[in-house]
Amino acid sequence: MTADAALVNRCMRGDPAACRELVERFAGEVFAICRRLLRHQHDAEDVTQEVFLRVFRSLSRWDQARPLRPWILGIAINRCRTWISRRGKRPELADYLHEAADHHRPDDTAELAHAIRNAVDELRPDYREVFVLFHEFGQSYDEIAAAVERPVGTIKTWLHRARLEIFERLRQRGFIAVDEQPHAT
Amino acid sequence: MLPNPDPRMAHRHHSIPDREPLAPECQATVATLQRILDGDLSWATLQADGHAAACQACRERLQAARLVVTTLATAPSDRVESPNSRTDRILDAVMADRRARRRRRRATLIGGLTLAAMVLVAIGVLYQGPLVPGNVDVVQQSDPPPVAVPPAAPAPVPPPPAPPAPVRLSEQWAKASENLWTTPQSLSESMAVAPKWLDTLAAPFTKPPALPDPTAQALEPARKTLAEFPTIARMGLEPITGTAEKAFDRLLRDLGRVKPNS
Repeated sequence: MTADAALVNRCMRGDPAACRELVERFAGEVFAICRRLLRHQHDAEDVTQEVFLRVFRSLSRWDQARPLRPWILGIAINRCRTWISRRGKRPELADYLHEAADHHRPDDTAELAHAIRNAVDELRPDYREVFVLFHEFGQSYDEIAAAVERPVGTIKTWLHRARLEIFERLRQRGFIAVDEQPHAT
Repeated sequence: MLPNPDPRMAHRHHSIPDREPLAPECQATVATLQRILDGDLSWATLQADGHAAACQACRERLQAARLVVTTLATAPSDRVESPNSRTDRILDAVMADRRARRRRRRATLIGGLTLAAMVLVAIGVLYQGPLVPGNVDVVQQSDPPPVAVPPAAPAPVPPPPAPPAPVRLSEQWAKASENLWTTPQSLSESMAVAPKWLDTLAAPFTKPPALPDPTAQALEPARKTLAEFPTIARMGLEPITGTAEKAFDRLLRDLGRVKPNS
């Protein structure tokens, strides 16, 4: 039995220490992904709580032959999608845009970082999820595929397209400046 | 940049409207770049790529890729440790959810058992008639009008009224079985007798109460519903029994016309 399976079994038996361990192990990452995808601190807090409610309700349905982390991240991504679609039907809150991205660095790269983040945010949702999980959260292709429930080939295609779109947006916004004449090699 | 006339391309979150398709000569370089970004190859691989040095678009892509990778690598991580307050809040919510779900399950169970008990009580009350305290017969018999009775010869105390016979399912089954066994053996008649058999089973529940009683009146709709069961069953069986009975009767009639030695 894997460590994940042992932890989940303890949680299902109602062991409070195990429940705390599971939350502590994954809450930070789940919250970060929610905040990154939702771009709203308070929404991310609410969705993180919802994610763990769903996780604990569905522990008996987790396939113990698979790793736990992508399963939990998959629930988080699904909840974010649901939240975004629900938010689209609500009157827009004035303060939600970019509230979570409020950690600008004082140096010169802050503007570039902000531009990259905006370019990522403008991607279509599935491209954005894949890009964020791969480049910002260091997930492997297999983990992303398990989390978003798509084949690895699809994930690769989406990520490659996402990168090219981001490069193109950065170029359009003047962040890329190369000499017209190629360097002599 | 000309505006794109196609309104379907106006989605802000979708592909870039004016993105140029990848030139065929750039595809190998871009594929190498993607593998570098995937972590499969090192940046040094591109030093041997002559196209990467010569093509303006590819050089822009390479610079953009370097900028993105460098910026994301040095950006403050979004991955934050879960503070105790968040963990506590999540755990409180999880425990409250568990308690609520447990309460809902318990309420459902209790509701189901209560309903079953009420149905059983209703059946018992319907069969036994009014409850003893409200039984008008008992009251009238136990409280006769005052008459002048000579004290020397007290009248014999009348025996207490016999309690109503309880419902005995075994007896009802026995009656039903008896009806079944005493019916003719033909298939059609066996089918035809099914409603009668149900009548026998439901007879105790269709008996009207002897005297009006508040409890019985309150339970009258339930009694009517139970009394309709045999009718419903008969309606369900009649098309089958009618067809089968006719077919079997025709067979018997045909067999009866056959003379063995003719």
